[in-house]
Amino acid sequence: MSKKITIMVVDDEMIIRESFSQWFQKGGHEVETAASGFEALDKLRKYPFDLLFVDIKMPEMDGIELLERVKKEYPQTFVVIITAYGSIETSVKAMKMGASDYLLKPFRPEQLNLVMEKIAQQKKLTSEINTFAKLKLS
Amino acid sequence: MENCDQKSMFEKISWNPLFQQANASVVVLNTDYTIFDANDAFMKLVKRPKQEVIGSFCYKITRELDSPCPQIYPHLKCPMSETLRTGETTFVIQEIPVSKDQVAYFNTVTYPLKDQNGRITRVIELWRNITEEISSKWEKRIKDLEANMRMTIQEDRMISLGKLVASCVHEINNPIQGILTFSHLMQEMLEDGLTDGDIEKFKQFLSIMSNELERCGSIVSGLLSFSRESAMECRDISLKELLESVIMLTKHKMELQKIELVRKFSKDTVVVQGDANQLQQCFLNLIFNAIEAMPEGGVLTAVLKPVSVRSDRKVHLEIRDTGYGISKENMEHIFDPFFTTKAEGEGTGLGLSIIYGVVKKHGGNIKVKSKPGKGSSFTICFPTQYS
Repeated sequence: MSKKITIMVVDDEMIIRESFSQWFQKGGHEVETAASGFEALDKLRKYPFDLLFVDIKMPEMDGIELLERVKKEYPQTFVVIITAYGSIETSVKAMKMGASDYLLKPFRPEQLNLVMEKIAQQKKLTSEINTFAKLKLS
Repeated sequence: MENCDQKSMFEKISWNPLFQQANASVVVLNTDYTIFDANDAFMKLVKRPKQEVIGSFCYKITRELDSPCPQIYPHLKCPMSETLRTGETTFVIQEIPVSKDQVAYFNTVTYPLKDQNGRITRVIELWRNITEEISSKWEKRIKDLEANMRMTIQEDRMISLGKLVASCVHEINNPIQGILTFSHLMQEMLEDGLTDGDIEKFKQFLSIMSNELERCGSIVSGLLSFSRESAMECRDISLKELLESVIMLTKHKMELQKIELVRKFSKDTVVVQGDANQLQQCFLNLIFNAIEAMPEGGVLTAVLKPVSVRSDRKVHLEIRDTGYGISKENMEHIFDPFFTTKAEGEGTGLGLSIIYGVVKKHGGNIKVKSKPGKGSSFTICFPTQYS
Protein backbone atom coordinates (compact mmCIF):
# COMPACT_ATOMS: atom_id res chain seq x y z
CA MET A 1 0.00 0.00 0.00
CA SER A 2 1.36 3.34 -0.99
CA LYS A 3 0.54 6.39 1.10
CA LYS A 4 -1.06 6.16 4.53
CA ILE A 5 -4.59 7.40 4.61
CA THR A 6 -7.09 8.03 7.41
CA ILE A 7 -10.09 5.78 7.21
CA MET A 8 -13.47 5.53 8.89
CA VAL A 9 -15.60 2.37 8.75
CA VAL A 10 -19.30 3.16 9.11
CA ASP A 11 -21.45 0.09 9.73
CA ASP A 12 -24.10 -0.86 12.27
CA GLU A 13 -22.63 -4.37 12.49
CA MET A 14 -19.95 -4.79 15.15
CA ILE A 15 -18.14 -7.60 13.32
CA ILE A 16 -17.73 -5.49 10.19
CA ARG A 17 -16.35 -2.53 12.15
CA GLU A 18 -14.00 -4.74 14.16
CA SER A 19 -12.68 -6.86 11.31
CA PHE A 20 -12.22 -3.96 8.88
CA SER A 21 -10.48 -1.76 11.42
CA GLN A 22 -8.11 -4.60 12.36
CA TRP A 23 -7.42 -5.19 8.70
CA PHE A 24 -6.62 -1.55 8.05
CA GLN A 25 -4.53 -1.27 11.23
CA LYS A 26 -2.46 -4.20 10.03
CA GLY A 27 -1.90 -2.25 6.81
CA GLY A 28 -0.58 0.61 8.95
CA HIS A 29 -3.50 2.97 8.49
CA GLU A 30 -5.26 5.17 10.94
CA VAL A 31 -8.76 3.82 11.45
CA GLU A 32 -11.86 5.00 13.24
CA THR A 33 -15.23 3.32 13.33
CA ALA A 34 -18.80 4.59 13.59
CA ALA A 35 -21.91 2.53 14.28
CA SER A 36 -24.26 5.01 12.63
CA GLY A 37 -24.41 7.87 10.17
CA PHE A 38 -24.79 10.35 13.00
CA GLU A 39 -21.70 9.07 14.78
CA ALA A 40 -19.77 9.31 11.50
CA LEU A 41 -20.81 12.95 11.00
CA ASP A 42 -19.81 13.70 14.59
CA LYS A 43 -16.35 12.25 14.04
CA LEU A 44 -15.95 14.05 10.72
CA ARG A 45 -16.60 17.36 12.49
CA LYS A 46 -13.69 16.68 14.84
CA TYR A 47 -11.16 15.18 12.50
CA PRO A 48 -10.65 15.07 8.72
CA PHE A 49 -10.83 11.64 7.07
CA ASP A 50 -9.53 10.71 3.64
CA LEU A 51 -11.80 7.76 3.09
CA LEU A 52 -15.08 6.42 4.43
CA PHE A 53 -16.33 2.86 3.96
CA VAL A 54 -20.09 3.14 4.37
CA ASP A 55 -22.68 0.38 4.57
CA ILE A 56 -25.84 1.23 2.60
CA LYS A 57 -28.35 -0.47 4.87
CA MET A 58 -28.27 1.09 8.30
CA PRO A 59 -31.10 1.97 10.64
CA GLU A 60 -31.97 5.63 11.10
CA MET A 61 -29.62 7.31 8.61
CA ASP A 62 -28.81 5.01 5.70
CA GLY A 63 -25.57 4.99 3.71
CA ILE A 64 -27.00 6.98 0.80
CA GLU A 65 -28.08 9.81 3.09
CA LEU A 66 -24.69 9.84 4.79
CA LEU A 67 -22.96 9.89 1.39
CA GLU A 68 -25.06 12.87 0.35
CA ARG A 69 -24.20 14.83 3.50
CA VAL A 70 -20.50 13.93 3.42
CA LYS A 71 -20.17 14.93 -0.23
CA LYS A 72 -21.86 18.23 0.52
CA GLU A 73 -19.96 19.11 3.68
CA TYR A 74 -16.61 17.39 3.04
CA PRO A 75 -16.22 17.13 -0.75
CA GLN A 76 -12.55 16.13 -0.43
CA THR A 77 -13.46 12.96 1.50
CA PHE A 78 -13.73 9.82 -0.58
CA VAL A 79 -16.67 7.51 0.09
CA VAL A 80 -16.81 3.83 -0.82
CA ILE A 81 -20.22 2.23 -0.54
CA ILE A 82 -20.60 -1.31 0.79
CA THR A 83 -23.78 -3.15 0.01
CA ALA A 84 -25.04 -6.64 0.56
CA TYR A 85 -27.89 -6.31 -1.83
CA GLY A 86 -25.86 -6.38 -4.99
CA SER A 87 -28.50 -4.13 -6.36
CA ILE A 88 -27.00 -2.40 -9.35
CA GLU A 89 -29.53 0.43 -9.05
CA THR A 90 -28.41 1.47 -5.57
CA SER A 91 -24.77 1.24 -6.55
CA VAL A 92 -25.36 3.32 -9.69
CA LYS A 93 -27.27 5.85 -7.60
CA ALA A 94 -24.39 6.00 -5.10
CA MET A 95 -21.82 6.47 -7.86
CA LYS A 96 -23.88 9.25 -9.40
CA MET A 97 -24.02 10.94 -6.02
CA GLY A 98 -20.27 10.98 -5.82
CA ALA A 99 -19.22 7.63 -4.33
CA SER A 100 -15.74 6.68 -5.50
CA ASP A 101 -16.43 2.97 -5.69
CA TYR A 102 -18.64 0.23 -4.33
CA LEU A 103 -18.07 -3.24 -2.90
CA LEU A 104 -20.58 -6.08 -2.86
CA LYS A 105 -20.62 -8.14 0.32
CA PRO A 106 -19.17 -10.68 0.79
CA PHE A 107 -15.79 -9.84 -0.74
CA ARG A 108 -12.19 -10.81 0.01
CA PRO A 109 -10.54 -8.19 2.21
CA GLU A 110 -7.73 -7.82 -0.38
CA GLN A 111 -10.31 -5.93 -2.40
CA LEU A 112 -10.28 -3.24 0.27
CA ASN A 113 -6.59 -2.73 -0.52
CA LEU A 114 -7.27 -2.52 -4.26
CA VAL A 115 -9.94 0.09 -3.69
CA MET A 116 -7.65 1.99 -1.36
CA GLU A 117 -4.76 1.96 -3.82
CA LYS A 118 -7.06 3.29 -6.50
CA ILE A 119 -8.21 6.03 -4.20
CA ALA A 120 -4.67 6.85 -3.01
CA GLN A 121 -3.68 7.26 -6.65
CA GLN A 122 -6.68 9.45 -7.26
CA LYS A 123 -5.81 11.50 -4.22
CA LYS A 124 -2.21 11.84 -5.40
CA LEU A 125 -3.38 12.86 -8.83
CA THR A 126 -5.77 15.43 -7.41
CA SER A 127 -3.11 16.96 -5.19
CA GLU A 128 -0.65 17.03 -8.10
CA ILE A 129 -3.21 18.79 -10.27
CA ASN A 130 -3.88 21.24 -7.46
CA THR A 131 -0.16 21.97 -7.00
CA PHE A 132 0.26 22.32 -10.74
CA ALA A 133 -2.70 24.69 -10.91
CA LYS A 134 -1.31 26.75 -8.04
CA LEU A 135 2.11 26.91 -9.71
CA LYS A 136 0.59 28.02 -12.95
CA LEU A 137 -1.48 30.66 -11.22
CA SER A 138 1.48 32.09 -9.38
CA MET B 1 -112.59 -46.21 -24.40
CA GLU B 2 -109.95 -43.87 -23.04
CA ASN B 3 -110.42 -45.03 -19.51
CA CYS B 4 -110.29 -48.59 -20.63
CA ASP B 5 -107.02 -47.99 -22.44
CA GLN B 6 -105.49 -46.20 -19.54
CA LYS B 7 -106.66 -48.83 -17.12
CA SER B 8 -105.12 -51.62 -19.13
CA MET B 9 -101.96 -49.58 -19.53
CA PHE B 10 -101.67 -49.15 -15.80
CA GLU B 11 -102.36 -52.78 -15.22
CA LYS B 12 -99.59 -53.52 -17.63
CA ILE B 13 -97.32 -51.15 -15.79
CA SER B 14 -98.28 -52.57 -12.44
CA TRP B 15 -97.43 -56.09 -13.52
CA ASN B 16 -94.39 -55.05 -15.43
CA PRO B 17 -91.34 -56.52 -13.66
CA LEU B 18 -89.50 -53.27 -14.34
CA PHE B 19 -92.14 -51.42 -12.34
CA GLN B 20 -92.28 -53.92 -9.52
CA GLN B 21 -88.68 -54.87 -9.16
CA ALA B 22 -87.02 -51.62 -10.03
CA ASN B 23 -84.57 -50.25 -7.49
CA ALA B 24 -86.20 -46.91 -8.02
CA SER B 25 -89.45 -46.25 -6.25
CA VAL B 26 -92.30 -45.62 -8.67
CA VAL B 27 -95.55 -44.03 -7.65
CA VAL B 28 -98.51 -43.12 -9.84
CA LEU B 29 -100.49 -40.12 -8.62
CA ASN B 30 -103.96 -38.89 -9.39
CA THR B 31 -104.27 -35.16 -10.00
CA ASP B 32 -105.74 -34.72 -6.50
CA TYR B 33 -102.42 -35.98 -5.04
CA THR B 34 -103.87 -39.36 -4.08
CA ILE B 35 -101.75 -42.37 -4.83
CA PHE B 36 -103.16 -44.51 -7.59
CA ASP B 37 -100.49 -47.14 -7.51
CA ALA B 38 -96.95 -47.66 -6.28
CA ASN B 39 -94.31 -50.36 -6.53
CA ASP B 40 -92.75 -52.39 -3.71
CA ALA B 41 -89.71 -50.15 -3.52
CA PHE B 42 -91.97 -47.22 -2.72
CA MET B 43 -93.78 -49.17 0.07
CA LYS B 44 -90.41 -50.04 1.49
CA LEU B 45 -89.35 -46.43 1.33
CA VAL B 46 -92.39 -45.13 3.17
CA LYS B 47 -92.45 -48.20 5.43
CA ARG B 48 -96.21 -48.75 5.01
CA PRO B 49 -98.32 -51.57 3.62
CA LYS B 50 -99.76 -51.27 0.14
CA GLN B 51 -103.43 -51.05 1.29
CA GLU B 52 -102.55 -47.99 3.40
CA VAL B 53 -100.62 -46.31 0.62
CA ILE B 54 -103.06 -46.70 -2.24
CA GLY B 55 -105.68 -43.97 -2.16
CA SER B 56 -103.85 -41.86 0.41
CA PHE B 57 -102.43 -38.43 -0.27
CA CYS B 58 -98.79 -38.49 -1.24
CA TYR B 59 -97.93 -35.66 1.21
CA LYS B 60 -99.53 -37.62 4.05
CA ILE B 61 -97.59 -40.74 3.19
CA THR B 62 -94.17 -39.13 2.59
CA ARG B 63 -94.19 -36.27 5.08
CA GLU B 64 -97.19 -36.76 7.35
CA LEU B 65 -98.70 -33.48 6.11
CA ASP B 66 -102.35 -32.56 5.60
CA SER B 67 -102.02 -30.57 2.42
CA PRO B 68 -99.51 -30.45 -0.48
CA CYS B 69 -96.02 -29.75 0.83
CA PRO B 70 -95.40 -26.28 -0.72
CA GLN B 71 -98.59 -24.95 0.87
CA ILE B 72 -97.18 -25.69 4.30
CA TYR B 73 -93.45 -25.25 3.60
CA PRO B 74 -93.11 -22.74 0.78
CA HIS B 75 -89.39 -23.55 0.40
CA LEU B 76 -90.16 -27.13 -0.55
CA LYS B 77 -90.27 -27.69 -4.24
CA CYS B 78 -92.89 -30.30 -5.17
CA PRO B 79 -92.39 -31.99 -8.53
CA MET B 80 -96.05 -33.01 -8.64
CA SER B 81 -97.34 -29.42 -8.18
CA GLU B 82 -94.84 -28.19 -10.75
CA THR B 83 -95.97 -30.76 -13.29
CA LEU B 84 -99.63 -29.98 -12.67
CA ARG B 85 -98.86 -26.29 -13.17
CA THR B 86 -96.66 -26.54 -16.25
CA GLY B 87 -97.83 -29.78 -17.81
CA GLU B 88 -94.19 -30.74 -18.22
CA THR B 89 -91.77 -33.27 -16.79
CA THR B 90 -90.15 -31.90 -13.63
CA PHE B 91 -87.00 -32.82 -11.86
CA VAL B 92 -86.44 -32.11 -8.17
CA ILE B 93 -84.02 -33.31 -5.51
CA GLN B 94 -86.05 -33.87 -2.36
CA GLU B 95 -84.99 -34.24 1.21
CA ILE B 96 -87.25 -36.76 2.95
CA PRO B 97 -87.10 -37.61 6.65
CA VAL B 98 -86.62 -41.36 6.97
CA SER B 99 -86.32 -41.53 10.73
CA LYS B 100 -86.26 -39.11 13.65
CA ASP B 101 -82.75 -37.87 13.05
CA GLN B 102 -82.05 -38.99 9.52
CA VAL B 103 -82.94 -37.68 6.12
CA ALA B 104 -82.53 -39.23 2.74
CA TYR B 105 -82.09 -37.49 -0.59
CA PHE B 106 -84.14 -38.45 -3.63
CA ASN B 107 -83.82 -37.52 -7.19
CA THR B 108 -87.47 -37.26 -8.26
CA VAL B 109 -88.65 -37.08 -11.84
CA THR B 110 -92.28 -36.77 -12.87
CA TYR B 111 -93.87 -37.85 -16.13
CA PRO B 112 -97.39 -36.52 -16.78
CA LEU B 113 -99.92 -38.81 -18.47
CA LYS B 114 -102.33 -36.84 -20.64
CA ASP B 115 -105.65 -37.58 -22.28
CA GLN B 116 -106.49 -36.80 -25.91
CA ASN B 117 -107.23 -33.16 -25.00
CA GLY B 118 -103.84 -32.77 -23.40
CA ARG B 119 -105.27 -32.69 -19.91
CA ILE B 120 -103.19 -34.38 -17.25
CA THR B 121 -104.93 -37.43 -15.89
CA ARG B 122 -102.18 -38.91 -13.78
CA VAL B 123 -98.54 -38.33 -12.98
CA ILE B 124 -95.87 -40.98 -12.66
CA GLU B 125 -93.12 -40.15 -10.15
CA LEU B 126 -89.79 -41.93 -10.14
CA TRP B 127 -87.79 -41.69 -6.94
CA ARG B 128 -84.15 -42.62 -6.88
CA ASN B 129 -82.27 -42.60 -3.58
CA ILE B 130 -79.08 -40.60 -4.04
CA THR B 131 -78.14 -40.21 -0.36
CA GLU B 132 -75.03 -42.36 -0.58
CA GLU B 133 -73.97 -40.82 -3.84
CA ILE B 134 -74.32 -37.35 -2.35
CA SER B 135 -72.54 -38.15 0.88
CA SER B 136 -69.59 -39.66 -0.92
CA LYS B 137 -69.46 -36.55 -3.10
CA TRP B 138 -69.65 -34.37 -0.01
CA GLU B 139 -66.92 -36.31 1.68
CA LYS B 140 -64.78 -35.88 -1.39
CA ARG B 141 -65.57 -32.18 -1.49
CA ILE B 142 -64.65 -31.77 2.19
CA LYS B 143 -61.42 -33.67 1.63
CA ASP B 144 -60.64 -31.46 -1.37
CA LEU B 145 -61.31 -28.34 0.68
CA GLU B 146 -59.07 -29.56 3.49
CA ALA B 147 -56.33 -30.34 1.02
CA ASN B 148 -56.75 -26.90 -0.53
CA MET B 149 -56.48 -25.28 2.88
CA ARG B 150 -53.25 -27.16 3.59
CA MET B 151 -51.89 -26.14 0.20
CA THR B 152 -52.89 -22.52 0.75
CA ILE B 153 -51.16 -22.44 4.12
CA GLN B 154 -48.06 -23.99 2.58
CA GLU B 155 -48.11 -21.47 -0.30
CA ASP B 156 -48.47 -18.63 2.16
CA ARG B 157 -45.51 -20.04 4.08
CA MET B 158 -43.44 -20.00 0.93
CA ILE B 159 -44.39 -16.36 0.24
CA SER B 160 -43.43 -15.40 3.80
CA LEU B 161 -40.24 -17.36 3.40
CA GLY B 162 -39.40 -15.35 0.30
CA LYS B 163 -39.83 -12.13 2.28
CA LEU B 164 -37.76 -13.53 5.15
CA VAL B 165 -34.94 -14.78 2.97
CA ALA B 166 -34.21 -11.31 1.61
CA SER B 167 -33.71 -9.82 5.05
CA CYS B 168 -31.98 -12.90 6.49
CA VAL B 169 -29.50 -13.06 3.63
CA HIS B 170 -28.53 -9.51 4.45
CA GLU B 171 -28.12 -10.44 8.06
CA ILE B 172 -25.99 -13.47 7.27
CA ASN B 173 -23.88 -11.55 4.80
CA ASN B 174 -22.44 -9.31 7.50
CA PRO B 175 -21.03 -12.08 9.69
CA ILE B 176 -19.73 -13.81 6.56
CA GLN B 177 -17.94 -10.63 5.53
CA GLY B 178 -16.52 -10.16 9.01
CA ILE B 179 -15.37 -13.75 9.38
CA LEU B 180 -13.85 -13.70 5.91
CA THR B 181 -11.92 -10.54 6.76
CA PHE B 182 -10.75 -11.91 10.11
CA SER B 183 -9.57 -15.19 8.60
CA HIS B 184 -7.58 -13.43 5.87
CA LEU B 185 -6.12 -11.12 8.48
CA MET B 186 -5.13 -14.01 10.71
CA GLN B 187 -3.49 -15.80 7.80
CA GLU B 188 -1.42 -12.72 7.03
CA MET B 189 -0.48 -12.34 10.68
CA LEU B 190 0.67 -15.96 10.73
CA GLU B 191 2.78 -15.48 7.63
CA ASP B 192 4.43 -12.43 9.14
CA GLY B 193 5.23 -14.35 12.33
CA LEU B 194 3.25 -13.96 15.52
CA THR B 195 4.16 -11.63 18.34
CA ASP B 196 2.98 -12.06 21.94
CA GLY B 197 0.31 -9.46 21.47
CA ASP B 198 -0.98 -11.28 18.39
CA ILE B 199 -2.04 -14.30 20.43
CA GLU B 200 -4.32 -12.08 22.50
CA LYS B 201 -5.69 -10.61 19.30
CA PHE B 202 -6.30 -14.09 17.90
CA LYS B 203 -8.29 -15.00 21.00
CA GLN B 204 -10.37 -11.87 20.63
CA PHE B 205 -10.97 -12.46 16.88
CA LEU B 206 -11.89 -16.10 17.40
CA SER B 207 -14.38 -15.22 20.09
CA ILE B 208 -16.11 -12.68 17.81
CA MET B 209 -16.03 -15.16 14.93
CA SER B 210 -17.59 -18.00 16.87
CA ASN B 211 -20.30 -15.75 18.30
CA GLU B 212 -21.16 -14.55 14.82
CA LEU B 213 -21.10 -18.08 13.42
CA GLU B 214 -23.58 -19.10 16.10
CA ARG B 215 -25.78 -16.22 15.05
CA CYS B 216 -25.63 -17.40 11.41
CA GLY B 217 -26.45 -20.89 12.59
CA SER B 218 -29.55 -19.79 14.44
CA ILE B 219 -30.75 -17.72 11.49
CA VAL B 220 -30.28 -20.67 9.15
CA SER B 221 -32.02 -23.11 11.46
CA GLY B 222 -34.84 -20.63 11.95
CA LEU B 223 -35.32 -20.44 8.19
CA LEU B 224 -35.05 -24.21 7.82
CA SER B 225 -37.59 -24.93 10.50
CA PHE B 226 -39.83 -22.42 8.84
CA SER B 227 -39.59 -23.85 5.34
CA ARG B 228 -40.11 -27.43 6.46
CA GLU B 229 -43.46 -28.80 5.42
CA SER B 230 -44.68 -31.09 8.12
CA ALA B 231 -47.87 -32.89 8.92
CA MET B 232 -50.08 -31.14 11.44
CA GLU B 233 -48.92 -32.27 14.85
CA CYS B 234 -50.34 -31.20 18.13
CA ARG B 235 -48.00 -30.72 21.06
CA ASP B 236 -47.30 -28.38 23.98
CA ILE B 237 -45.81 -25.16 22.71
CA SER B 238 -44.26 -22.32 24.64
CA LEU B 239 -45.76 -19.23 23.02
CA LYS B 240 -42.90 -17.07 24.25
CA GLU B 241 -40.28 -19.24 22.54
CA LEU B 242 -42.29 -19.41 19.35
CA LEU B 243 -42.81 -15.67 19.28
CA GLU B 244 -39.10 -15.09 19.93
CA SER B 245 -38.21 -17.31 16.97
CA VAL B 246 -40.46 -15.22 14.72
CA ILE B 247 -39.02 -12.00 16.12
CA MET B 248 -35.51 -13.27 15.44
CA LEU B 249 -36.40 -13.84 11.80
CA THR B 250 -37.98 -10.41 11.40
CA LYS B 251 -35.74 -8.33 13.70
CA HIS B 252 -33.46 -7.20 10.96
CA LYS B 253 -36.31 -6.07 8.74
CA MET B 254 -37.69 -4.05 11.64
CA GLU B 255 -34.34 -2.41 12.35
CA LEU B 256 -33.89 -1.38 8.74
CA GLN B 257 -37.39 0.04 8.63
CA LYS B 258 -36.75 2.08 11.79
CA ILE B 259 -39.29 0.12 13.78
CA GLU B 260 -38.83 -0.05 17.51
CA LEU B 261 -39.82 -3.36 19.04
CA VAL B 262 -41.35 -3.37 22.50
CA ARG B 263 -41.80 -6.74 24.22
CA LYS B 264 -44.27 -7.00 27.06
CA PHE B 265 -44.04 -10.68 27.94
CA SER B 266 -45.39 -12.12 31.14
CA LYS B 267 -42.88 -14.01 33.29
CA ASP B 268 -45.13 -17.08 33.34
CA THR B 269 -44.41 -19.88 30.94
CA VAL B 270 -47.38 -19.83 28.65
CA VAL B 271 -48.08 -23.14 26.98
CA VAL B 272 -50.71 -23.89 24.38
CA GLN B 273 -51.59 -27.11 22.65
CA GLY B 274 -51.09 -26.81 18.94
CA ASP B 275 -49.11 -27.05 15.76
CA ALA B 276 -45.87 -25.09 16.02
CA ASN B 277 -45.54 -24.51 12.28
CA GLN B 278 -49.02 -23.15 11.85
CA LEU B 279 -48.79 -20.91 14.90
CA GLN B 280 -45.41 -19.64 13.77
CA GLN B 281 -46.91 -18.83 10.39
CA CYS B 282 -49.77 -17.06 12.08
CA PHE B 283 -47.47 -14.86 14.23
CA LEU B 284 -45.21 -14.17 11.29
CA ASN B 285 -48.17 -12.93 9.24
CA LEU B 286 -49.24 -10.68 12.11
CA ILE B 287 -45.75 -9.23 12.50
CA PHE B 288 -45.30 -8.79 8.74
CA ASN B 289 -48.63 -6.97 8.57
CA ALA B 290 -47.54 -4.67 11.39
CA ILE B 291 -44.19 -4.01 9.68
CA GLU B 292 -45.86 -3.35 6.35
CA ALA B 293 -48.31 -0.95 8.00
CA MET B 294 -45.37 1.19 9.14
CA PRO B 295 -43.21 1.90 6.06
CA GLU B 296 -41.96 5.12 7.67
CA GLY B 297 -41.09 3.42 10.95
CA GLY B 298 -42.97 3.27 14.23
CA VAL B 299 -43.41 1.09 17.29
CA LEU B 300 -44.35 -2.57 17.23
CA THR B 301 -45.54 -3.84 20.58
CA ALA B 302 -45.81 -7.56 21.27
CA VAL B 303 -47.77 -8.46 24.42
CA LEU B 304 -48.05 -11.93 25.88
CA LYS B 305 -50.02 -12.41 29.06
CA PRO B 306 -52.05 -15.11 30.76
CA VAL B 307 -55.64 -14.23 31.58
CA SER B 308 -57.85 -16.07 34.00
CA VAL B 309 -61.59 -15.83 33.60
CA ARG B 310 -63.09 -17.80 36.49
CA SER B 311 -61.70 -21.31 36.03
CA ASP B 312 -60.93 -20.68 32.35
CA ARG B 313 -57.25 -20.20 31.68
CA LYS B 314 -56.44 -18.27 28.57
CA VAL B 315 -53.55 -16.42 27.05
CA HIS B 316 -53.67 -13.12 25.21
CA LEU B 317 -51.18 -12.41 22.49
CA GLU B 318 -51.34 -8.92 21.10
CA ILE B 319 -49.43 -7.40 18.19
CA ARG B 320 -49.86 -3.65 18.05
CA ASP B 321 -48.51 -1.19 15.51
CA THR B 322 -48.52 2.56 15.03
CA GLY B 323 -49.13 2.34 11.30
CA TYR B 324 -51.84 3.23 8.79
CA GLY B 325 -54.73 1.61 10.62
CA ILE B 326 -57.74 0.01 8.94
CA SER B 327 -60.66 2.02 7.58
CA LYS B 328 -64.20 1.22 8.71
CA GLU B 329 -65.19 -0.05 5.25
CA ASN B 330 -62.22 -2.40 5.11
CA MET B 331 -62.64 -3.65 8.66
CA GLU B 332 -65.48 -6.04 7.84
CA HIS B 333 -63.50 -7.62 4.98
CA ILE B 334 -60.05 -8.02 6.50
CA PHE B 335 -60.48 -11.72 7.24
CA ASP B 336 -61.98 -12.47 3.81
CA PRO B 337 -59.73 -14.60 1.65
CA PHE B 338 -58.07 -12.64 -1.17
CA PHE B 339 -59.05 -9.27 0.33
CA THR B 340 -56.06 -6.97 0.12
CA THR B 341 -55.34 -3.26 0.06
CA LYS B 342 -51.80 -3.83 -1.12
CA ALA B 343 -50.70 -3.29 -4.70
CA GLU B 344 -50.84 -6.27 -7.03
CA GLY B 345 -47.98 -8.67 -6.44
CA GLU B 346 -47.33 -7.36 -2.94
CA GLY B 347 -49.86 -9.43 -1.09
CA THR B 348 -51.97 -12.49 -1.69
CA GLY B 349 -54.79 -11.28 0.50
CA LEU B 350 -54.55 -14.58 2.37
CA GLY B 351 -52.49 -13.55 5.39
CA LEU B 352 -55.32 -12.65 7.73
CA SER B 353 -57.64 -15.42 6.59
CA ILE B 354 -54.86 -17.88 7.35
CA ILE B 355 -54.38 -16.29 10.77
CA TYR B 356 -58.12 -16.61 11.34
CA GLY B 357 -58.14 -20.25 10.21
CA VAL B 358 -55.19 -21.21 12.39
CA VAL B 359 -56.55 -19.41 15.45
CA LYS B 360 -59.94 -21.10 15.11
CA LYS B 361 -58.28 -24.46 14.61
CA HIS B 362 -56.52 -23.95 17.96
CA GLY B 363 -59.75 -23.15 19.73
CA GLY B 364 -58.93 -19.47 19.96
CA ASN B 365 -60.45 -16.24 18.77
CA ILE B 366 -59.11 -13.00 17.38
CA LYS B 367 -60.07 -9.38 17.99
CA VAL B 368 -59.06 -6.35 16.00
CA LYS B 369 -59.00 -2.72 17.04
CA SER B 370 -57.89 0.00 14.72
CA LYS B 371 -57.87 3.74 14.27
CA PRO B 372 -57.09 4.97 10.78
CA GLY B 373 -53.86 6.94 10.88
CA LYS B 374 -53.06 5.78 14.42
CA GLY B 375 -52.46 2.07 14.15
CA SER B 376 -54.00 -1.35 14.68
CA SER B 377 -53.98 -4.01 17.30
CA PHE B 378 -54.66 -7.71 16.83
CA THR B 379 -55.34 -9.77 19.93
CA ILE B 380 -55.47 -13.52 19.82
CA CYS B 381 -56.90 -15.42 22.73
CA PHE B 382 -55.91 -19.10 23.16
CA PRO B 383 -57.00 -21.63 25.73
CA THR B 384 -53.94 -22.67 27.74
CA GLN B 385 -52.25 -24.13 30.76
CA TYR B 386 -49.63 -21.98 32.46
CA SER B 387 -47.40 -22.28 35.45
